[in-house]
This record gives sequence, C-alpha cells and structure tokens, in this order.
Amino acid sequence: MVLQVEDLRVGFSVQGKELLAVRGVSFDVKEGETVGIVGESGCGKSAAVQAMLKLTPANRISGKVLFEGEDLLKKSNAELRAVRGRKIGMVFQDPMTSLNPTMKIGNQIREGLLYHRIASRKESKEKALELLKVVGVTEPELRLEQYPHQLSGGMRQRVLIAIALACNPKLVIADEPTTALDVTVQAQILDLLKKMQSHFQTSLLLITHDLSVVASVCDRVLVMYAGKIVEQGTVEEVLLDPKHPYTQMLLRSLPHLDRPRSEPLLAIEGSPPNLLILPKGCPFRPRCPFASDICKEEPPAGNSTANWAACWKVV
Amino acid sequence: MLLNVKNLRKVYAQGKKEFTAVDGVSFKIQRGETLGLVGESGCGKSTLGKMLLRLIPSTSGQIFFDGEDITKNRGRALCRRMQMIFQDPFASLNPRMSIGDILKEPLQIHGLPDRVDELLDLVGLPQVSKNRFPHEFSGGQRQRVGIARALALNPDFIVCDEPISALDVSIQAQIVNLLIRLQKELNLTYLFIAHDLKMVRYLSTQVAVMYLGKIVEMGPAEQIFSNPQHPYTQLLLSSALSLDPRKKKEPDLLKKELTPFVF
Repeated sequence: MVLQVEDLRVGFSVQGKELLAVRGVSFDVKEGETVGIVGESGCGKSAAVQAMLKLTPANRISGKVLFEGEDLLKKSNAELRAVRGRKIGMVFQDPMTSLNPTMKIGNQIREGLLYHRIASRKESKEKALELLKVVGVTEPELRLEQYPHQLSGGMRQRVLIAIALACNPKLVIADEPTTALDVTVQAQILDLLKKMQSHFQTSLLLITHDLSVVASVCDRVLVMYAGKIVEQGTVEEVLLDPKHPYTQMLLRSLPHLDRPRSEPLLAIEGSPPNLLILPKGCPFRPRCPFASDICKEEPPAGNSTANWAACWKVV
Repeated sequence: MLLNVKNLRKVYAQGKKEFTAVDGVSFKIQRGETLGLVGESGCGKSTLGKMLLRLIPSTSGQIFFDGEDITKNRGRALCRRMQMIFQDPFASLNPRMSIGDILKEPLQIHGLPDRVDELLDLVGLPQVSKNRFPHEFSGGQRQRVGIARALALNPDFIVCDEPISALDVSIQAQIVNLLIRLQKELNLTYLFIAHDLKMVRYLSTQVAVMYLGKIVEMGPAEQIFSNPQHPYTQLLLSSALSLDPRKKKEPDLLKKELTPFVF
C-alpha cells in the first residue's frame, strides 16, 4: 500500500463559520495503481489532495494520511519538504500558471534534483535533457534554455510531468492535468501519463471532473459529492453498473459517443448544496428522485477496499 | 435558408506580418436547424461567430441573413434578429445590475414593452430573481439569465459560443435541454460553437469541423461522426474519450519504445 487516507477532514474559516470542504474521506492507493477522484467543482476533491501534502491554507486538517507507513499530517514543514517532489510528485491543473515565468525550463526541472541532492549540477543537466526526451518534448536541447511563454499549453504540461517525475517518486498526484487542454492534446497527455506510470512504476492519483478521463486511464474510482465519497469501486463497476443515484444520474446526463443520438439527456435538477448549510443526512437528498424519510439519516459508508455506495437504497 | 456565408475571411495585421484567423469559410444554415462548429482553441471558431453578428468586421466575403446581404450592415436592426450566448456566465453579466435590469436593458434600447416576467418563465427562473444580482446565482442559473437576455428581442438566430463549457457536469444537461426546448418552441436557429464533441453530436443537425481557420469537413451530424472523411476529423474523433472503460486505450508501449531512462 503506497497511500492510506483515513477520515480526512479539511475545514476553512468562511465568514466566521467553519466550512468543511472535506467531511471524512478514507481511501487507499496500491502500488502501481491508478485511482481517480471524480466530482464537480466544490466537492472537495482538490482540497483533499492539497491537504494531504499541507499545500492549503485550510484552518483545520484532521485524520490520517499514511504514506510509506508514516503520517504526513504529523510531519513538520521541513520533513514534508523531503517528501514533496521527492517521494510524491504533483502535476497541477493549469500549465499556463504553474510554471515559473522567469525561470528557464531546464532550471525548473533541475530544481528538484538539486534540492533533494539526487544529482550534481552537471548530472542534473543531462537528466533534465533526458526527461524532456522521455515526455516527448520536441527539440529538447533548445527547450532547456527557453522560458515557459515560448512553449504551447501541451508542451508546458509535458514539462510539468517531467518535473513531477524527475525524482522518481512513488506516487504522482495529478490535479485536473488535462482540463485546460484541447481534446487531441488531452489524449496525448493521458497516454503519456499512463506510459510514464508503467515505465517508472509509480502510483497515480488523478483528480478530474471528467468521467471519460476516468474511464480511459483509471483502475479504481472514488466519486465525491459535497465533501464525501459517495461511491467507490473499479472503473468497470462504477461506470458500467453505478449504484449511487448521483453516479447513475451523472452518467445519464452525459451524451455518449457510442450510443444513439436520439437518447435524451437526463438533467439532474437543482445544484450541489452550499457546504455552509448542508441538508441533514444524505447531501444528495434534495436532488434525488428516490429520496425518502430514511435519507434524513446519515447514509452508511463502506470500508476503503470494497465497492460500495453511500446510499440507503443500495444497502 | 436563414444564413448563407460566402468565402468569409478575417485577416489580422501583426506589424508587417498578416495572420489569417478565418480563411475563406462558406456554409449555410436552414431555419430551425443547429450547425455545430467544432475545432480546437485558436482555430477561428469564435472569431467566425462574432463576425456573423458583426461584432468583428470581416476582411472579405459575404454574409446573407434571410436573403439580405448584411456584410456592410451595422446597428440595431440586426440585434433584434441575431443574438449571442457567451461562454462565461460569470463574466458576461454586469455585476452591478439586477437580473431585472439586465433583461430590461435590450427592451428599453429598442423601445419594446417590458416582458421580463415572461422571459424568466421561459428559462425556468423564479420571478423573485428580478431584484437579485448576478453574484447571488450559481453558474447554471446565470447561464439561464444569459439565455433570457439573448431571447429578449425575440431573435431568429443565436450564436451559442461554448455555452456549457464553464458549467458543472450535472448542470450541463439542464442547459442543453433548455436550449433544445427553446429551439422547438420559438423556432430558433443556432450556431453552436463547442469543443465537446459528444454534446455537438447530441444537439446538432449539421456539423462543421474547423482547423487553422478553414472548414475542413461539413455534413449531417450522424455522417460526420459515423464516417469522418478528413484526417483531422478522424484525429479529433479518435482523441475523444469513451465513457466505457472497456474501450480503454492501452498505452502502446510496444509500438513506441521509450528512451531508456536509468537513475
């Protein structure tokens, strides 16, 4: 087991109140596995992974984040810096803003190698070049000396992947790595992530709002809604035979390329709840066509390994 | 024929260099139909949409709207018949105006009677919305306001420029279904600009694929999606990801040998 998250809770202070963006999330990532966290904006998926590495201004982070047997949440910032970038690599969403505009590409890739003392200055230059070749950046020698604005969005995302992989991490966290990219580039980048993963034997935790990205690269998927995991299982189970009404309706609200055009789209009425005034019990209750009185009780959560849905109708 | 575009071009001058954003595009849209326009960022699809509404002047070519050449046309008469729904519902509504005022503005400018209540009903917003401001609404509700505003002058033709790409997944179907219902009720004609191939296939009658300022392929939606002819359309379609995990694209490790990498 590479990563074990137990009852992670993340709270922000908003207008004098505490907003719980993540309300008790437990999951694990095995060696070499690709796990997807899927959900809409505000469901807490990014807040959860940022809190795992304490990369967030959250007021309260509780629970356990066990990485190689050690709780990351108990580590000091100095200890965490030895993990960030070294053992856990991160690819952020926006390739336009997550590179330093005033630093040459080569130096940005070498930064981690030098900081973690993995390579000497001379070796790091060679490794930066090799990394650019591996992630398929064209004219790598030239790119080393260029600045981010001289590269296209897809090329920048490749550079970010090279940086994340530079120190040969055990786990790569990719937060919406293809959302800002065009479809043809998205396909290339996802393909690259999968290749890199089997090449470097890393585990991949992929955050996305796009179920088709999950379908094409993940082994397992966690569906989040209003700060909680509402369903989890293998991609086949969750996408082909969804149990939770939210997952079921979400899949029916999307057009499928391989189904007849005439099949109407089912709209989920309403919108995700305001986390400051959550309904009692199941957070999906106000939008759920199957809701009944029992749904006012907190729905059951399953253990982190099996497939389950947090819904009274399924139990 | 509601719209007939002939050899439309837009050339931007960059110093002494010229950049052709839209390069001789011709197409027709029948009344009541939807032309889906797909292509990647920078291919000129938004420029094309804005030229049709004369928001950007064209360099050459002609646009016939309902039989009339509107290429030289500027001014208010056109607004009554052609409108636009914008991509970003957060940026396209004036934050200092109430929803009622936003919807009233086009009616006042054109000296038409107030029909704000009717417009709110049409897009499924409650009447109390009138006195509220954009920041009090979610993305989906704001996009409904944007649609109501576009409908205020009772247009025939609406350019929908990525109207759902800024919305959450569970909200997209609401807005798409609303657009389809309004089209049937009001006999609207749409140019639907998007990069989401699945949505374009769902709601378009005709599809045009744009690449580097040119339309490379055009035809009935079913035909484009089931039997694409142009290599670029084929590439676009093969890049689209399926929702079915059984159709996973395995990384073709054997085909492309990776550079050996040793630490």
